[in-house]
Amino acid sequence: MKHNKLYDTLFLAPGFLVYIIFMIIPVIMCFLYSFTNWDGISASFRFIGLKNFVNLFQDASFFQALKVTLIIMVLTTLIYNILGIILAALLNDTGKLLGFSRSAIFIPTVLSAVVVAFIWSYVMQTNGGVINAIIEMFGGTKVDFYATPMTTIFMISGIICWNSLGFFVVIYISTLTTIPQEIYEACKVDGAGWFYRFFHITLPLLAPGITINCILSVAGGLKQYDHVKVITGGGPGGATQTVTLFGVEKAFEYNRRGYSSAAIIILFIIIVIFSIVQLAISKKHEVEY
Amino acid sequence: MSMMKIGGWIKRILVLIFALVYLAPLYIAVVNAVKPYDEIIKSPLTLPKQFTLNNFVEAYQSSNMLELYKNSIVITVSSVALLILLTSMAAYIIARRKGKVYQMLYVFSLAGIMIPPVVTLIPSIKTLSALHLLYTMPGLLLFYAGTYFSTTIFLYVGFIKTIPASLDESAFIDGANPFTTFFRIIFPLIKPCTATAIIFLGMWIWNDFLNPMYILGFRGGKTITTGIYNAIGAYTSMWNLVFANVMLASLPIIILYLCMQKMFMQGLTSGAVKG
Amino acid sequence: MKRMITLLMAVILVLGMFAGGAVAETAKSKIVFCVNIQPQLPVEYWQSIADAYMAYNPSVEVEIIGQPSSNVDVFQYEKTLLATGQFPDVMVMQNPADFVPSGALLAFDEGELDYLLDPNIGKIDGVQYVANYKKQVIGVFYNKDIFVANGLEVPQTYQAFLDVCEALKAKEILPVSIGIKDGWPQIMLANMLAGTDLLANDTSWGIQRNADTVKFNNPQLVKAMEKYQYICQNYAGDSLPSITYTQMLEQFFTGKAAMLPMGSWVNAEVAKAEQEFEVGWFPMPGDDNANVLSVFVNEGLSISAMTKYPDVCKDFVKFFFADKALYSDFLKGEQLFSTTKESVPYEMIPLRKYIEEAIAGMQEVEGFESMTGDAAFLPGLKDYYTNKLTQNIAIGNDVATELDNFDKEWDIAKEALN
Repeated sequence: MKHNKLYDTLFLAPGFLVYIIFMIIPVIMCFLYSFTNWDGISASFRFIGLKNFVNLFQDASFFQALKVTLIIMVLTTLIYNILGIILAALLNDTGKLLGFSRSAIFIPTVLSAVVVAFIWSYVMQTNGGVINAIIEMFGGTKVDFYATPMTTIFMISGIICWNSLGFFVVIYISTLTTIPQEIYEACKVDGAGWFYRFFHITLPLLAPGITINCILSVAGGLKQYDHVKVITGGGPGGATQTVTLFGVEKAFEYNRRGYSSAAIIILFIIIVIFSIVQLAISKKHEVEY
Repeated sequence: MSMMKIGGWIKRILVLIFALVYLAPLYIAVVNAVKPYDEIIKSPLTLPKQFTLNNFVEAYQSSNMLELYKNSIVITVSSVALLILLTSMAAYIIARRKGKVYQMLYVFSLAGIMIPPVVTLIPSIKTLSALHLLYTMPGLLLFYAGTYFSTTIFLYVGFIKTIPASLDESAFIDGANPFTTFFRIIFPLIKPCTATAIIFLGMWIWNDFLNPMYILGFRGGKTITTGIYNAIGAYTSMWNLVFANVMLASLPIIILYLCMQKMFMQGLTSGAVKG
Repeated sequence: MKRMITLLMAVILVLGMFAGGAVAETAKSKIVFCVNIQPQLPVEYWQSIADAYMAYNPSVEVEIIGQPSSNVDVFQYEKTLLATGQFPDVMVMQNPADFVPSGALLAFDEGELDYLLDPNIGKIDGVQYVANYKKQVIGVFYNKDIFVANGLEVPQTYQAFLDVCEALKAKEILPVSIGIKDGWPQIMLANMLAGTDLLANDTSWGIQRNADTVKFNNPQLVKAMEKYQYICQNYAGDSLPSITYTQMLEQFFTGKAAMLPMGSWVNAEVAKAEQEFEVGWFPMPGDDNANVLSVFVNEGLSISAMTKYPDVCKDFVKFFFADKALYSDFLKGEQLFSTTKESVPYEMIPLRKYIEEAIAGMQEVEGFESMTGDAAFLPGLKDYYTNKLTQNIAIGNDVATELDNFDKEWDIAKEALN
């Protein structure tokens, strides 16, 4: 069938044009800036080669940001996918109660990061917060979630998960519905228990869903900006700063746009590497039935 | 009752309890949005003893809520429409054509998913400014079209591939040009995917605050999200007003979700995952 | 045919969108004034200045812009504006050192700012870029009722201050209200101590630091920061990282905390008279006396070097100070100290009057992180002090190590400037 190239171009052009102008070109510019000493506001700058990258590798606060980002990414990915699969398995059934539960778990997903961060800031307050009020009601001692950077990071990860867990549960539920019931029937006839069914049939067949969700949650976790910005602003003392926050700070507070661009490019490369690795692993494990 | 049935009921009840606890923070926001400030301090968890709508009135009056809603609706609806139009058309070609070029184009179009949020803002502002579109809504629309192109095309390509190409062929034989084929035949068939895209894009764009803040700037007006961000920023400890603002911003989208639930679940189940 | 028409219509629509943004040329000169919108200085106030100027000079149109959201710092927003080619003509300015290297600011001529009390504050390399419009002082607001009830006197030495804190702590009253969640409130206490222990004895310290002849990690500053740390760790309660500025104010004004180390803008809160006690004020004492006052004089109006109408802008700046009604409204909002030679009376609350009398004759030093002119911190160092250094020291990190890191940051910033 002969395809009219003109029509093809008309179909492709508008979308790709906007995409290139607003996404691709900025990334290319970011890549170019990372080799300069631009301060973000002057008209001139110099090319300084790999100096920014060298400095980044000697910058303790950059490594702290990387560490924070990776911890958040790992925590959120684990919770989204482990808890997500368990909940999806539990919720993948009929009934009004389950229907209500499904909706309930998804509702926080439609809330914005700002809203979620404000509500949880209130709930987690050390003095007068809801969680501590409940703990004290039962006679326990107050918990200070902001006590150390680690506890703060755990708290932030929990809040992020609360926001988006529903999204992943829903994707898992829909993946589960594509698994034909016959397979389970065949298993039950063979006398397989719930445990066996789950680990040897459900999980492998969930593989495509797991891949997508892992790629999305890993990329999302690494890009993390909104929630941390509103909850702690990266503090105290930059202890909960993610790489994106680090980049923004270097660009706008320190007037080091080139340096900031280098940090973001490194983050981009990390995201790409993680995505490629995950795709490669999933291709190996995908089960056809 | 058999063991299976009891197990089933226990499961349902446990899940229900989990779901209720999960919603607890929202309950807190709702219940405290209708309490006066002092009552919140004294008893944050209980149902209101002094039910009041004053917080909402104050929140409504302090920002021009009606205009904020209008702006959010206009921006969200137009951005989503533009995105769906541009992306579905591009996805159609990529899904249908064979060849290395188109494969590479697809991979190229997915790069956006991996790009961190703040990279594109400043250069985009400069571009919009050069086009005289800065501080305007059309400018924001174009920005969103570029930003969410990758995720949307990811959804569409996977779904369109599940529609047999034979439909295209028969349309071609009947003398239809690609526009007709796409809009009259293919597009209606990918409705579930469009529904999914509408819900996700609608959600993300409605809730976005960073981009409208800088692209609309000071003179371009505020959306409901930037509006409450602005209002709340000033009162971090007037919790009654914070929650009233939060409710005013979130209720519309919660209600929209509850109404569109069925279509949404259908959309996801039917094929968004098949990609 | 139908398709072609639809396509044509779409193209027209798109062009229409672009045309909508076109700017019509008028006969008026137009300047954009970027302001700092605050609760006590809302858009309406700034608009009234614009309106007054337009009435005074009808050939000019003044457009007011501000930060796009209350949680965005307008001074940082100005950097974004500069980076995207949207730099305003006239603007409020806090860190000229961040903008001067890129040549973004217009210099005021010698003598042009002679209506100011001190037109030379903040000159960079002998050139003035900012018309300083307000002075604020840092001090300790205290709950007079609590002091009286516990037989406490206003401390005149640092040791006396510690004794007051101990006495309050023994009575289970929170001595000092401090919180580091918002990032900046804690610097008030740090600045006062740096003022009494370092700057008071060496007023040109900032200039020396810029010349690299001194370092942050020096005995006096270490001592000052250790004092700051001691107070944060012992007398400010145990949840510093979760307390916001609003909560700091709340702790003090509801009578939970006895003292609040903060800037003179707190007078605006005192003016609201929602507290049920009398509020007093004293400057943070040094080891031997309470004669040193840390002040902020680093904010004012600046003009863009790229403006098309430099004369109009300069006229506008002059007008801001000259219009006594508007300038006094500006000062009244935060109960500020005026910077003009001519006095600008406004309705002052009694506490503010008291402060003005109390500080007469004290040695004034500039707020440590906001030193102006050639003593100013390099770009980013002010934020490092605010967001990293003072927060880390408050939560207990080793002072000497932190100051050492601060020195290293300075070196990196210096290198980045070349």
